[in-house]
Amino acid sequence: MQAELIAGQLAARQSFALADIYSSLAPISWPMTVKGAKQEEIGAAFAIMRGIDRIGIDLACIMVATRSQRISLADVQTMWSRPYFVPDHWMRQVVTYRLPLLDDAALMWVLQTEADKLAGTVQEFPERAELYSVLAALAAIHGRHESAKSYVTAASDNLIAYGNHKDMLFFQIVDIATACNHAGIHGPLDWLLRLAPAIAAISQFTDGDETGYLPERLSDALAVISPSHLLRYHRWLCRVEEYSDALHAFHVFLRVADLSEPINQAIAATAIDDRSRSIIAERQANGDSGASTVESSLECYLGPFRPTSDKEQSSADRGMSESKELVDPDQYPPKRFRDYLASIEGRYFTHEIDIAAWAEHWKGKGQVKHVIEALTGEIERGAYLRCHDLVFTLVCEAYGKDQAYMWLVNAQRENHGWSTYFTAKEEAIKRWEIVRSQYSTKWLQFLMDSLGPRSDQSPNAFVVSSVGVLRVVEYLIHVDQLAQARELAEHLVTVSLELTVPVTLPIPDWAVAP
Amino acid sequence: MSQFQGALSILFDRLTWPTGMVRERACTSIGALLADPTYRDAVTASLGDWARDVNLESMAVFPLLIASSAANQGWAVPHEVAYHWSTCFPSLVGMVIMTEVYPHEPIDPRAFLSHSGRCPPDHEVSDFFTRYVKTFIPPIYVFWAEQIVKREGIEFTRQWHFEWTEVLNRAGIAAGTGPIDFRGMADRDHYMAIDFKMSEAFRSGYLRALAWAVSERRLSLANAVFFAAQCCPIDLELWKLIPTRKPSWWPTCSVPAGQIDTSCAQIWDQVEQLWSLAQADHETVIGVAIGQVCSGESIYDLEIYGCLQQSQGPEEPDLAELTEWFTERPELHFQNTSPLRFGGTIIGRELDEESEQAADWLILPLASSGYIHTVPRWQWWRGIRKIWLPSVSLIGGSAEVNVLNDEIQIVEDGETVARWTDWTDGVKETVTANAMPSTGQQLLLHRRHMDTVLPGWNDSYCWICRITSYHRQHGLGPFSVFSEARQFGASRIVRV
Repeated sequence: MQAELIAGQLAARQSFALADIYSSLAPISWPMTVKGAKQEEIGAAFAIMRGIDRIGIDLACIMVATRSQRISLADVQTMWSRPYFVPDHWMRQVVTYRLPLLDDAALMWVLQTEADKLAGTVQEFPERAELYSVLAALAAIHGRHESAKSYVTAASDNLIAYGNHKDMLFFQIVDIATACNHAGIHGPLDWLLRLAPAIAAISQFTDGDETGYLPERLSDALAVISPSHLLRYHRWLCRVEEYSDALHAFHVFLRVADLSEPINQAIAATAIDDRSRSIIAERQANGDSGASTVESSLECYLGPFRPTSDKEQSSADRGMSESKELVDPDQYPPKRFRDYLASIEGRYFTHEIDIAAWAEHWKGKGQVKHVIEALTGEIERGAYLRCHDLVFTLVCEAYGKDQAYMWLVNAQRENHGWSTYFTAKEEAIKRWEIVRSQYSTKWLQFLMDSLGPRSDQSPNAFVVSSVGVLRVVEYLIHVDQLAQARELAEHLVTVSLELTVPVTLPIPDWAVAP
Repeated sequence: MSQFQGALSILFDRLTWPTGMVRERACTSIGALLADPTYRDAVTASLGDWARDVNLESMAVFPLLIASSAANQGWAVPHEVAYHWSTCFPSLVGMVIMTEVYPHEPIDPRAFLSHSGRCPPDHEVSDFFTRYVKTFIPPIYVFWAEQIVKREGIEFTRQWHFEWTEVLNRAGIAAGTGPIDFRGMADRDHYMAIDFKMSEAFRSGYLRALAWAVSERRLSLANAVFFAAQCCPIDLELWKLIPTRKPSWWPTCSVPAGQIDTSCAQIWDQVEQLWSLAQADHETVIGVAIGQVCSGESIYDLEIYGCLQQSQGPEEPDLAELTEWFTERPELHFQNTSPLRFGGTIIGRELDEESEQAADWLILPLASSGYIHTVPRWQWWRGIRKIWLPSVSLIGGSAEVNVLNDEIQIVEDGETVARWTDWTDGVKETVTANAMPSTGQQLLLHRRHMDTVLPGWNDSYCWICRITSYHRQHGLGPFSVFSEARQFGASRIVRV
């Protein structure tokens, strides 16, 4: 009926209001406005609405061409007031026509309304960048170049803000705060409090994948840096009903609380979830008499604790264990090292141990230089041996520490010593300890050499990923460069927070001074 | 904030933790601190602050429950202190608890009738309310609201919605499902009794609507008290009763990891041995014993219902139906009792009023479950398993059901005629999918009393038993439930 009416109006070259199309849809129960509607129904409704948008914009084009009548302020206000109307979708379609379809008042109202909405909401930055770019396009099409420029700038701000694959930086900062606190560096609590707004809103401006654990990491750090803030944080999490995070904060408290204190025993007597009871049981097993008292009271009421069985199979059960027999190194002298490597192929988990055993064997027979030759030869050939630390030790013994230095650098670089993802901290610390004890004047050189490009790489390939910054700070602490560590940490906090600048994040009250 | 105050704050956070069992533990812990002179003043002051700030009527009664717990632990909170707590956000449930904890103090109901006045005529019930009220609180409240509308002819549900809206505004709670996912999925591990802020807003609105109905003289105070008492999260008598450990005679089994599960056979063997032992002249006999036998990848539950049986013909009843009949029999109500306290007086009845014809068997059950008026969310396993007491046909005149710290005693003419205990065996806040909790109970009837009221009972004493097993192929999803019923001791001899 609506189509017939509009067709008649167009045929008679009469005017019609775009808003009428959307108003006529009001009696329909649109799934996107119904709580609990099925996803497929909502998807279908959005598709239908896109079709309606398209028809409406086509008709608007006809009106502009035939009557010079543009979409009016009344039109857009009516459209925006309908709960089934999706402004984002509509604006995206309008800009694809590249025609100035809105009159001035309508355009300004749309731009202002949407910009206000963006300013008042927290959502993922790439999405915000896209929305700003749509506003920029809309403004540009209508000749509003200044507005377009400001929206392009806003889009750019959001484009380089906290986004996918940068979202682990905050984890590093929280851990840096803990490391600095441990080293007695001033400032960690302040850094955490500055991060608090971003962590509180993390699930709003990221998809929560992995980043969802940041509040837990924050609890861990607060327990060490400022237990009183952990209590405030726990209370706040309870108040905003973030119960999973609050439960983790409670577990952190349970791990560190002095259970000889009656008040803490009273708290622990409420610790009835599986994880809590495990923590108390662990403390009891470690001889904590307060934990024993608590466990007795819990057992009296609930009965003996039976943790939920872990049905996950170990890797050994899944057949990942290696059953190949040990290879006798004596059969493979240094000249046949490549054959030795072939004989241990597939022994992935013991690869390094096998090579070390081989090197030790032939070093014992006085062939250390041949061993070095064999190992470095294979490395230069491109073999992935993970034995740079071993080469460093051998070269140091055979030729002295000056010649060995570059092998220490290579070990740190090739074994991803700066990455918390790829290597254990203990492994990196062994190298840092060597730097401190044997190359103390070269601490900065080591950092630059191991972070810098290899000889076969471009001189610009100097990269520290977000997963590496923690190790760098830890390194600085280890080599007694505390001022540098603090300065770097401060800088990292500032830089990381700059990634959230495009939105105004509310400060959770637990992070405000009482 | 001192270290003690900081720790106390985390203890008070546990009071508002959404799971009922944690709240119960928190109340008990705070009650113990109140009973300790070292901490009494600080805790009393903090409770006052807490009561002032809580903003929700249904939670404002927690300090009163703590006072009740403290009384059980040896310290009576002064009446004026508790009264102050109760009037911060007054409600009828607060009044009922005050009456119970301070039975000798006069109370003016008008001080507890807090509401927002009659709702405007154009006030409409929102979709959210209709859609989610049963998600956040047990359906019993909606049931009673509908009954009030029907029987009293007042627009109670609309008033409830109006009060709920006022509560939301006052407490700054947005109408949304919020943290509902924390409950867990029904076919996995999930919390059994969980109350979010929204749950408490619904319950507080309900209490305020009751207060309005009483104020407008549209509902009697007695009826309103009946409804309000169901907002109390725990039965005050049952709270005193500490669960015991699983009795040594209760069957055990280990669920084998292989393909063939022989657990059921193991359990039946043990039940048979138990039945043989039951023939010996023990002081007590089993009226009812119910509980979990073992859990692992599969879970086994056993029910033993003691009864007297007489065969009147060749046709035997379906034992599965018979066990269902035991569980579905009307609950036993007490006389002269408080809505917040399990127990009271039970009046005996004639045998033929209690017996049931099942095929050609005449069955007289030896136990019935007792009525618990509150919705005991804080001890939900007792609500699920029920509490079994001697059948009224075993009572000569009348008997008293007394809840003690370690057992429930049923006393007639000064003599204990039966004892009830329950046990927890690693019970948690959560249950796995549709399985029953790891708890159990036993009702033991005294043989001497049986001899007095039912001479010759031993000739027809038998057990109707059921093993229910819960299995699932994977670690997720609901269990498939299988059950098998058997009888022990039933006679096939037809007595003319």
